Amino acid sequence: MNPNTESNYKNNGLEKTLITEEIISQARAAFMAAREIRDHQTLFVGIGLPCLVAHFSQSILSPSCHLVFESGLMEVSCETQPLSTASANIAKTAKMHGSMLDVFSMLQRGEIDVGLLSAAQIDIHGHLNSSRLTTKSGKTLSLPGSGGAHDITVLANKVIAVMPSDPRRFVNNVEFITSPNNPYGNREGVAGVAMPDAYFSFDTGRPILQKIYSDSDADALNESLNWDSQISDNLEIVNPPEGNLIEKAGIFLKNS
Amino acid sequence: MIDKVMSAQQAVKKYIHNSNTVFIGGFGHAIPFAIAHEIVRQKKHSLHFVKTGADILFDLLVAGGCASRLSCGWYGNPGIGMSNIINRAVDSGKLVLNESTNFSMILRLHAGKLGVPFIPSPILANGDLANSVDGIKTMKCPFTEVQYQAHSALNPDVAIIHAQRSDMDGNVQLWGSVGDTIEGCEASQKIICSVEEICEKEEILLSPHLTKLPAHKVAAVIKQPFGAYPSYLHDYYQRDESYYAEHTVNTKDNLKSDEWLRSSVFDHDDFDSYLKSLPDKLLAKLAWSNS
Repeated sequence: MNPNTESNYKNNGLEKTLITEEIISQARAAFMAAREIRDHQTLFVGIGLPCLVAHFSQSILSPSCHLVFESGLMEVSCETQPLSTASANIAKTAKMHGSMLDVFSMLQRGEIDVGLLSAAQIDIHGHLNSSRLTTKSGKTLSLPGSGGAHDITVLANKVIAVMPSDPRRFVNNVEFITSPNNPYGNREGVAGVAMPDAYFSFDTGRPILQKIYSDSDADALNESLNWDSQISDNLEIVNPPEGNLIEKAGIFLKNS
Repeated sequence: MIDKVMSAQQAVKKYIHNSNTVFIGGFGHAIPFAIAHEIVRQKKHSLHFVKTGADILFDLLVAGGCASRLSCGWYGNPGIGMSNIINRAVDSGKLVLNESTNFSMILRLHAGKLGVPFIPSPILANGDLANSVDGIKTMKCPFTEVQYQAHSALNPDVAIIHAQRSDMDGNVQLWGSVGDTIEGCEASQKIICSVEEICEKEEILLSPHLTKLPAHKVAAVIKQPFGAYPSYLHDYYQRDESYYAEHTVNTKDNLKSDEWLRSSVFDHDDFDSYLKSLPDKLLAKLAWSNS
């Protein structure tokens, strides 16, 4: 990541939102994931980074996409970060208040094009862990659990994971398989994972560094993560989000 | 007509019995805090709670010693973090946690609602969560021979919920995000409901499309304004964001949790007394019209 980026935004006196490294990092991961969405797709959106992906998709890259949240909210306009899938800010912009049964049924019927998820860990098989982590001191940390993550992973036509750049999150084998990359029927499963520097695809069943921002170094990134991945022969160089896009992320995250 | 209108104290005393299985309504919205406070105040125990995503109301029930078992797809403080109280209770052996997924919990409640023993689904066939989950067995489709998981029906003894309004007979009108509330209520034997307002049946007749629960299943109607505080109620009040933001710190160890439980529940005879103890003008600021 360009070390000058933060100060560039901070020094521009016009901005009302304080742009932090954290905002820039989230914007980069989310923008990378949003590039994988096609217009008119129906997205099942998890809480956290996936909401910013949905926001970028809906407001810039794929304006006709449809957003569904597990609480039952449908046709949502995701303008500010919701803290839960039933938060008032998205309940007020939803064009339909359905039930959880309604939206999980859609998922099971195969009507969700893309599930957007985050997790505590992802491994080289595309399995996701949202259940337990062992800390450096050897203590087991119990996390909140699957929620709808397992269901989305198995039932969405395709899953795109989006994660912060912590190397401990990218491992060869997750400690606990909450959401297995064993999709139902002929669904695609976990197609890839976006993070603040890059996008790894699972096209071959193993992580391949497929796209990278122009200010990041592929070899250094690949070595920094704790998993065995390869760099694609056709590595695509992508321009990172700047200016308005970072500002937009700042506004989105600030209002949560 | 049976008189269903009563206080939370009367309703919990009459309809919630130790060792019952209890469904809690409200998913991120319309969470029945007032009734939960009363369950804690009356020191009910050995209850089995069922839910899709269990938010911080479950911290009250677990810290209060009411729960012996929790079956859920998720537990914690939404968008903020883990449940310190539930993790401590599981570690010390006081609480049995049956972790599942939100869709499995919905399917199990829906099977209960339909009055069938199970519903087949492809979820929870693989992975560590699937290997440890409760209430699911592998089966073959009798038509195609394809393998599915049978998600067994749940029929809780009682459901507790909060809603916008009801008439005296228990025709409950609920709107906004309903989450798992309808599945859970219809699967349950009976429903205890707190509402912001009790209205005339003539008013219900003007908007029967808003009536989500039929009176015959509703055992008790409790008039309790702000009964979902600190969560929100669509068209009535916003969520108290700072309450949720501070909750994880307020419950970080046993000492802090005990203090939190005392000042929010045991120091008060009822929920109105608790609401009066909140900072001046807080509830007015949370009015939906300010959102």
